[in-house]
Amino acid sequence: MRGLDLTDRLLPPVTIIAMLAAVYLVFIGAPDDGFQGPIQRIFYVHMAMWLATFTAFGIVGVASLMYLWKRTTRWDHLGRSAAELGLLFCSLGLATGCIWAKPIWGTWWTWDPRLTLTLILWMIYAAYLLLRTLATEPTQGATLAAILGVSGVVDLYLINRAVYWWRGIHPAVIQNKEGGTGLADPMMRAALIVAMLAFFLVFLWLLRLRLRAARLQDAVDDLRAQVAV
Amino acid sequence: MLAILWKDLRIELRTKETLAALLLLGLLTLVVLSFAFDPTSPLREAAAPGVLWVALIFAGTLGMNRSLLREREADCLQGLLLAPVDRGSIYLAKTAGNFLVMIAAQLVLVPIFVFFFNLPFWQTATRLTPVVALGLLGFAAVGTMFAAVSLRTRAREVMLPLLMLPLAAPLIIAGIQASAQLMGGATVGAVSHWLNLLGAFDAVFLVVGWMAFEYVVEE
Amino acid sequence: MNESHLGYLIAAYAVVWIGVLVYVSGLSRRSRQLEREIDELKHLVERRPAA
Repeated sequence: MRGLDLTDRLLPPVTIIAMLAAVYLVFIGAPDDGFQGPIQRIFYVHMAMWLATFTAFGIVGVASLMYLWKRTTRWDHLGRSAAELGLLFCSLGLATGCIWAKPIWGTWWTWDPRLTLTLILWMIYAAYLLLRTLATEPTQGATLAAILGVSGVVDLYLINRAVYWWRGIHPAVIQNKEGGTGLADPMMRAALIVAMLAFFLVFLWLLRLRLRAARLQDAVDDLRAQVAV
Repeated sequence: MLAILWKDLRIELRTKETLAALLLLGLLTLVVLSFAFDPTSPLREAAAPGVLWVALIFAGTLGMNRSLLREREADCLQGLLLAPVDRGSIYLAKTAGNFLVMIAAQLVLVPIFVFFFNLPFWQTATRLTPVVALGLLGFAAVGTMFAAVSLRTRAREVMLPLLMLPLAAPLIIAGIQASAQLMGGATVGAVSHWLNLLGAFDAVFLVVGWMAFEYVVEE
Repeated sequence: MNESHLGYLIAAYAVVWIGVLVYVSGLSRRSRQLEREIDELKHLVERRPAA
């Protein structure tokens, strides 16, 4: 249980190397954006947060479905761990978005469809985690949370349509989030890809750590039961 | 399934407690929210659909909590689960019951709303009917499922809105937007995309609830 | 572009790093605690037949 397999041994150094490369490319390699200047560099980390967030919430959906079908704790651990990490990266994505929006759009927050969608997602998965802590019995909490996990994914398309139609009536604050010039420079594209990869590796690493903690918790519960007998 | 629905409705008709509570809550919400807007300003008209839907949501959430809590208080849910009906049917019956009670409450609330906000009665009432009906159906579908879920948690009164409202976001947005356009003089045809969205939401969550209810109530 | 905007850039990256680090430290603290608990419990379980 506590032994590290090959992935566990390789993941940390690879992640660190990717992160160093990302830091170099983001701050030194990539040129300043023509319109936005240095502030545009937030974009790289911001997009990286979204990749991790949506992967995490996708995993929650799949794991929830599999848990309802197979009823094995493995899927439950995966769902719970991914939800926790998804919420972390979602919060960070929202935070970086707000920090970027303030100087560029002149406001911390706008009810842009993407922002609205993300906020709703954040609330769904916050409720998911709360449901697990507040369930009267752990296995039941797992089932109930899995139902919410599946509902969340099913709902995603509807939420998406609703927020886009809702905001479609009003003029959007800004059409192109990337800023006027886009990612014209190849170094910018490289910085984006490496930054996304680096944070994705961080996500995978954290996910494995979190899963390990979940297994430890299970072992503790088992041993406690044995001692109590 | 019809028997369960009939049982619930009969209890409701006899006691009228949920209905009365729903009505008063809805009314209170309308009044409280009216305080937020200057009665002479045009802002009030813009806020009207939002006020109506907030009243619907408040009253609906609490009503749904009641309907399953009642089963639990008397340990009726156990009996219901022992009966030779499949869980999906129990869910559909409960949803239908909640839906009908909310509709009954709306029959009174909407006219009061029209009266308070000085709207043309027949026009508003007839045009809002499909939106409110579809919205409440979806609300009953999500609400019944998650009321059963929140029964299984501590702090269950708080859990229901926490679980349900984010998921119901498309329903709330569609309901408010469609109502606003209809009150602004749009025809029902002009808001058909919102009605489609509401219909899709209802269908999706009726199916999800029907399939998932088994897992929710299992011991 | 205004120089003061650099502050926002630093803030954004700082938020991300601090967020991740806080999560990691919380997680590792929890894991360590669990490991310690496992050792204690194993000890108890092993000892029991003798007692």
